[in-house]
Amino acid sequence: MVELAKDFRTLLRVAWLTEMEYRANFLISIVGALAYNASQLLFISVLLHAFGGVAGWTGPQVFVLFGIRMASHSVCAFFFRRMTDLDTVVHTGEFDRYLLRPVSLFLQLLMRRFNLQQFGDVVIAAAVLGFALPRAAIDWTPAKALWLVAAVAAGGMLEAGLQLVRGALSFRWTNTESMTGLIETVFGTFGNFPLQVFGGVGAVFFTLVLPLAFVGWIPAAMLLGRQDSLWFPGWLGWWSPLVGVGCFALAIVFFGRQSRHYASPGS
Amino acid sequence: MIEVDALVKEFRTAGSVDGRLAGLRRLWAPSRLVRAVDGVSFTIQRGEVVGYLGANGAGKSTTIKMLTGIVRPTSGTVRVNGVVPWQNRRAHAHNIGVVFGQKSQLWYDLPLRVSLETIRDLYRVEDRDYRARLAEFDEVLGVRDFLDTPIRSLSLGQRMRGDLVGAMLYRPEVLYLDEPTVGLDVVAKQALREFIAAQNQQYGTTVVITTHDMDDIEQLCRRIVMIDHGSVVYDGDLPVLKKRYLPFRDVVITPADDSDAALIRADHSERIEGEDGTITLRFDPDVTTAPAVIAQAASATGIDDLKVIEPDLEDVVRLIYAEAGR
Repeated sequence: MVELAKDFRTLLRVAWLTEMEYRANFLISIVGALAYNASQLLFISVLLHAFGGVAGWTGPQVFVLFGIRMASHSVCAFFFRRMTDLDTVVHTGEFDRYLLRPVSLFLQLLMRRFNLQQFGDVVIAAAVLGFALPRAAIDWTPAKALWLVAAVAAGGMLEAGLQLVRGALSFRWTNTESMTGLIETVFGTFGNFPLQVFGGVGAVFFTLVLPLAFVGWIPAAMLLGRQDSLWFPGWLGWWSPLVGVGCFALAIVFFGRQSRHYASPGS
Repeated sequence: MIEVDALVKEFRTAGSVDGRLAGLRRLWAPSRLVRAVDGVSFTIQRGEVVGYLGANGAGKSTTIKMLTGIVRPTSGTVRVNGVVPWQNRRAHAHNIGVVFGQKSQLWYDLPLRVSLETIRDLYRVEDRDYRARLAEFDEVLGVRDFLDTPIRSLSLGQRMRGDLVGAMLYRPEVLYLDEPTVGLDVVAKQALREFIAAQNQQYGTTVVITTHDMDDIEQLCRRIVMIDHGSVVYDGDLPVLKKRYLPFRDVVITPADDSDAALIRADHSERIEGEDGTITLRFDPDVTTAPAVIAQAASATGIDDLKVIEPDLEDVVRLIYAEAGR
């Protein structure tokens, strides 16, 4: 663990210095992320303005859900953005280098670049939560606040885990880029709504098959006291962060196993 | 130091389809199994410098990738300093240094200095050792001038020198070089060879080198392992290899004038008349010697010029590749 921390510090320095080589890129990325998220925000605002709520949830409640999902996404984007690079790393043969160094493969992928440009996501998420949480009449306890932090972190890990699994498939199939966008789009499109709006089958599907329920819907329902919207016993919802953590842990194991099939390109 | 036994690597590639709608039908064409390396075995002792040769596509790079632990073999075993590369990746990483001519192992966007410091930290090299080694390497490779230049801005020669320093900074027992001199100028090549030879002599570093530059081999290697179609076709001394394929030596004589030409001959040697008026006396060095041939030829007649031609490794390799290609 001490050794891992040393490697982390070393690689963090390299990633930071690399990022500083591209300061202009850094600013453009922040602006881009802000614009993208603002457009999503606008869409939901229009929707709420027109209908006054979604599937029995009030406007502020939907905003809490949106804020939690954004926060989870920024955890993923800020800490685990590099998971989406894995197919490029495999495709270009950069992975050769990782295998030759006496450092954890996962850590090398994770620290490939510093993720400062994802700062835009963090800003938006903080703004939305700052706006929505006080308006949603949540009866706060310290435990609940801590649980929210855990749920947001776990949500980020869930998304990162899915991206890592997707990327790890490229050890055998080499080209999985088409699926990178798919995960982000599905999460971005469906993840922002209370899932009961898609009917019973939809809610089950988005919980068990494409588990985006754990990134917004379940944490928001628990926090807002809207367990009535869930299709399973409400108390189960308190355990939902375990799913994100578990998914991420399994993804790292899967990544390690798939890396054995690496066929380095070229000569 | 390096033990390779019955190493095999098979790849699946998409099967080829011709004719109508080939592009579409390729989608469900059966994949083909290609055996890139087919039962390679050899043992390399500590401190050896071995040239690993083969034509393009012979299986050289795939073998090197298995030895370095980048690719897992389909079957067979590799042990480097007692470690199986893909079973104990990290221990193995400390044992080996790798330089690929085609691909830098350094951080592309950052100054060479940062890459070297990062390697120092990742391999836990003491700062005192780091400074001493950098100074030592700098004497032969002259890297100080471009320590603060980003890798992407270095010339190919500078980049290779930087990569070599990076690979030797933690004093690995084994150094793998995959086409290290490709595209380099004569001076850069010479610096690289001097450095490799010095590391081998001073620290007993075991070196495995693949190259298409026969001067690399002549200057560095005592032993050659040659591979073709995934199998070892020669493993042994460089002089023996030459002798097996080009057993003769030539004395080429330019006579003073045409009337002298007819008189030029020597015992135990074949006389070949060149189109440019030169006479070549070809002999087997086991039967007679160059001085004997020259003395006899010169005693008879007037000679303008004379040279002795040693068999060229490039010719040898060309012969072997051509033979194997048939």
